[in-house]
Amino acid sequence: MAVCVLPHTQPRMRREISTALTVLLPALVGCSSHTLDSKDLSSSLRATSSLAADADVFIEYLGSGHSTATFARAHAGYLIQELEDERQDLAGARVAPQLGPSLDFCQKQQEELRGELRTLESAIGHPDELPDIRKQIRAIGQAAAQARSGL
Amino acid sequence: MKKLLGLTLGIMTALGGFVDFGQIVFTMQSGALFGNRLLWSVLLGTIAIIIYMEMCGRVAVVAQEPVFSVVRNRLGYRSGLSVLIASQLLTVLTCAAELGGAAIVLHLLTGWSGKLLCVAFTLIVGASIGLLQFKWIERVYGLAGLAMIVFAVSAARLHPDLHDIVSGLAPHLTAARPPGNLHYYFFAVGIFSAMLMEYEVHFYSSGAIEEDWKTSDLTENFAVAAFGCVLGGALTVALVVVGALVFLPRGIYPVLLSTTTLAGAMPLGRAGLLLTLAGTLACLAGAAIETAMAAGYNVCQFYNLPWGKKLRPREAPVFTALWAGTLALGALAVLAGVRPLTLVNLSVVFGMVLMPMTYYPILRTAMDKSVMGRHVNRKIDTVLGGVMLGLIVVAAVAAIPLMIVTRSGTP
Repeated sequence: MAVCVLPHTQPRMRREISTALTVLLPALVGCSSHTLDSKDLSSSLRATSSLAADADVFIEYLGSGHSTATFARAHAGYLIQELEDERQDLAGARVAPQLGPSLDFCQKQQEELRGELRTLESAIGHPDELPDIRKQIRAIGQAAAQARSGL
Repeated sequence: MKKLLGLTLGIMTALGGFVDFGQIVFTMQSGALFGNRLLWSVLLGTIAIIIYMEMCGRVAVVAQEPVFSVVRNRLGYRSGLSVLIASQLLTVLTCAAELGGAAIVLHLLTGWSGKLLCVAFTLIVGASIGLLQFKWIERVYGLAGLAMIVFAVSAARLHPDLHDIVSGLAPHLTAARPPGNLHYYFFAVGIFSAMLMEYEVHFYSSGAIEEDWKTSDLTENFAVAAFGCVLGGALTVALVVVGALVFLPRGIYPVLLSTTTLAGAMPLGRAGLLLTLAGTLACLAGAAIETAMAAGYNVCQFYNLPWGKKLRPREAPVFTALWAGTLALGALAVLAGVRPLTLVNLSVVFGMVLMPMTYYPILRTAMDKSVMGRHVNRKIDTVLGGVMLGLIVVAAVAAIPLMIVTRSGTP
């Protein structure tokens, strides 16, 4: 029912809203679907490039030496968790045949970004490793943004 | 000094209401998408909440009727009950979001388990409500929330374009940039809604009665409402500006509280990071207290049951059970894994839908000479209140369709 009320929300939002309503409005819980249209895919690419840019700013901040190690580790963890949520949305998704390559590309970028974010998480406290990670993350973000503009 | 400390009710109400989890993320998202172009919505929301907060305080003092007593008397039992049920659900949603947000901030500070921190934070908030007198709740959490001024300092350190800010305060009818007008309107409605969240006036009007305000305090009522709201509005402007300067040029659409915190801390040193986290935590604590207490106030006022911090828990059992139950439900929602940001999206939009049913009865009562006597609305109060109510109705009608077509503002 929750999804029926909000038929055009993206899958993650649908799932989250459903979860919230499951807790607070059990009577309203109902159907769910994983079919994506081009808007959904565009949103996923946008989210991927945004997370990459977010990580880029984070690395810049780490370079300033103003962060605490605790904050840095926790924020890196949240970035990874957010990306995992994005990946999960696409994992079981169906798309129209012409969107197949875009879906594959988006998943590939997310996979690469996940790898870089994990490297970043373990590189906290090792500032010499950050520039290379930043370069990779920027490239992923740019590729995702470019793919989105081509949709 | 006592009069000065009286301002803390307005500060806590406004900071807990304006600068809560939803507003922090939502306003920064609007800055990230549209720069300073939506600042007019902040200005409009600030004016509207000053008008209605003052009215609620005045009605509470003169008629000794807090908001839900007014709602029942003006709308009748059945309609009033519908508003009460919907308000309670919204209050629980919002409270859960604040508790979840606080757990995130505490995790960023300590690195400990978020779920454990959520439980600990809920217990601290519960202990504050249970053990502190009302005046100490508002003083402690109102003054602690002032640490959020760090976002205004950050905004200033980022050297914003003042001309662009002033220009943003004037209404613009179109977005003039992607993702387009519908998203622009969604964020305009969302910001306006977040500034007028019902629990603010529930808490404020009940606080006026808790604080034993008399009709001789009505001048202060306006000062308290205006000071708190202007401060909250200014901090909201700072959040938009920081979002516009940090996120917009980099193409970031912030969805994490840690990202928004980072943006506030970036122009400052390590102390800035800690202050940003502390200020955010204080505001979230204030909002959690406001929502939990509002849940208790609402039902008791609607059914005319004993309520208030002056009574012992056994003298006001329903009030006590409701605020404690709201905190417990909110914590359970967080522990069940519901994302705080999802709760915020729901509460902001559905809060807007409910707003006319809260603010209309207040306006009607404030302009009723038989109830208010010589403290009845002046013509200007009624005209401004009516105009704002019109805007609230328009926003309420538009809120859900906009949420659907814009996918809750997702670009």
